[in-house]
Amino acid sequence: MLLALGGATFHTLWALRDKRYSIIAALTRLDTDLGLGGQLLAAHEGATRWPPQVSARPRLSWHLKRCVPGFLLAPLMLALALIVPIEPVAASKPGPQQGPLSWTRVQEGLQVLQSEPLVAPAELDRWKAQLDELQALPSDDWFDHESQEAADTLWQQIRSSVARTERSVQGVQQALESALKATTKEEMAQAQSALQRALKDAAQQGKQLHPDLAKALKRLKPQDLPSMSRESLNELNKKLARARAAGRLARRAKLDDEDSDKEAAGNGPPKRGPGTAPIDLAPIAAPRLSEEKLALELQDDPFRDALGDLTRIDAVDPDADTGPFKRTIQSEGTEHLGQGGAAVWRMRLLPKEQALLRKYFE
Amino acid sequence: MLPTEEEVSTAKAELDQLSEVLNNVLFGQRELVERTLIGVLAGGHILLEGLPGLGKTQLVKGLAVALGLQSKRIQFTPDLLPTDVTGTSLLNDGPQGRRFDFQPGPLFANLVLADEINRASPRTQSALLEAMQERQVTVLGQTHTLPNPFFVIATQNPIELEGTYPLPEAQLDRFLFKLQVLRGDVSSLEQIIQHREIGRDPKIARVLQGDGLLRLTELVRRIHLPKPVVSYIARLVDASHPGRSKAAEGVRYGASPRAGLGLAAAAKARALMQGRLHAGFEDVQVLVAAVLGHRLVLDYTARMQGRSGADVSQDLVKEVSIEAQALPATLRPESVS
Repeated sequence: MLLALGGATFHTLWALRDKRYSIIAALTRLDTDLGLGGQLLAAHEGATRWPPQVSARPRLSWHLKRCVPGFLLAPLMLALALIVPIEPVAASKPGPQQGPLSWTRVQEGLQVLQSEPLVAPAELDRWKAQLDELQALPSDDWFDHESQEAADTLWQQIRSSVARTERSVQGVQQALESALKATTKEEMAQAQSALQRALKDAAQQGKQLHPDLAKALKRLKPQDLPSMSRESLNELNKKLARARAAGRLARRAKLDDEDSDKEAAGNGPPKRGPGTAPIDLAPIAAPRLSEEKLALELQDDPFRDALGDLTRIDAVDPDADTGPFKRTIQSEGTEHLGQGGAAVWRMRLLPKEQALLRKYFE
Repeated sequence: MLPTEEEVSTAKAELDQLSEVLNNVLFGQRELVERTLIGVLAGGHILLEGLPGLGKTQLVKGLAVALGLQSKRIQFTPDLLPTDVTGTSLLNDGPQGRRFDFQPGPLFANLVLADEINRASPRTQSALLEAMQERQVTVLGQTHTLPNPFFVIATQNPIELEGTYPLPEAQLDRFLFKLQVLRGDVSSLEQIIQHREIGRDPKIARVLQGDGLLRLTELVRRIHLPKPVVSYIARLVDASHPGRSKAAEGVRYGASPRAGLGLAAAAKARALMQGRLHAGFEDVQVLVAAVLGHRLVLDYTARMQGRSGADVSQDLVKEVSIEAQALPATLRPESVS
């Protein structure tokens, strides 16, 4: 109760803090606004008489200065609206209708993989979910650097994953083909041994493999190979071949388009660049300096520097090659990445460019 | 004791007449005449700065005649000696034997016109210091009191700098006002050409008789200065110091307490001229540039920006609020009306 009363009192005082004023302050304002030349203040101090009282009765009055401009301005603004050629507001710019190329590749790849049992459905669902996540972004962000990089990474991840699975299946298929072609016991033994290795590789793929394929491979025993009928081997071989073909097809999704673009655009831009990461980003080590050089370092006034004086020390790896930039013959070619390193970093780039590259390399 | 309304109205009538006479001496310079009268009523010394031929000397001569004062003129030159101004003791061989008698200099007058004061050497200028502040001179160890009233109205020419000695800050501070004498407009010029002739002084009527000026200056002292106005003057003077206000940026040294006293006296004199028993904020605002302008020492940056002491004073008036305590926003004129 007391707390509430205290709080209410504090709030009231706080709310009234700028509403409290002295008589002097009020008289000063009135005196100034009415142009009385200090008469109110002097009268308050008893030095002169108060000015004659003016009777003021509250009444309604017209404030023409306030009313008229509004009435005049309104039709004027309406008239202006008719005169000023205002274009209809352009419809908001539509976002891109189609997503990046990587999305199409992923979609087509997943479609192909769903048709043949090569990759486990759970894996396919995971990739699909990742693609859905990208597609759920606002269309304005689809072609952002981060978004595109994520889509490309997803596509590369799928390709490499499919390629690994495909390679393990390929090993089994090749072992089966060898078994089918085997005429001697030695050849059959070699095929059995190859099959064993291939099955071991396939087993390492684990959950990546489609369950049907994994079950079929699990049933396949290298020691049973000689006793298996040619029909069953052929059937299994064809199944594996179809799975491999699906994998190849999935990995090459939309690649034809990319190739044709490449041909149309030539060989692309020159790929010369800053080269390797600059030595400035290498682990920082204390500079090895003599006392004399350190004394020079402390010398702030550049006008006192003699020719050849050390005026700046960068914290660099003492083992790094800090020699001048050496242009090589290959650097004339557009594909050459240049020597890079500290020479380019320090001697050729502006501080702004250095900051940008530092961010890139980090 | 506070003045009565009758005293003030009588004084206002006399001052109006005085203004009229001086305005007939100096055409088109009403503001200058008004400020000069305020300065004289406030008991201060005045420094007039203006180009030659604008009527500075004429104004002082007219003022002396109209006020019924004895006036003397000193033309300051580089070789003028202090004793030429203050006077000196001369050996007299009379019936009572040989003795030194003090021969008063031109300072011994009610109104002294120090023409081109910045042409005199600093030594001679400093001879004026004691006279202006203490209203007495000391020669050979003997102190001589100057007549009462005593005013110095000095003039200086702003364009000729060669061979001049700028007045030191200490001496500038002793002048209540520094007034700029500006050229009048065409109609004023027409009046001058029509009513004046070279070599003939205009006829000036004497307005005040006997100790009329002393009576008026005494009345000025009795004019009431309300406390909020006193506070306003104090805040203005304080704000003129570096770091005390934004307007004082570029000021090296601000105004002295003497400036505050001068501003108060001048505000009261203006109130009397307008027939009021009390001074107000407007009186202070109108006179602040004349009182503070020459007392502010500006630094290099302010001078580079072309700011003068008068500019700083005007900025002070804009920055320093009349109200020591701000009224609530709801009582602002724009909210109330």
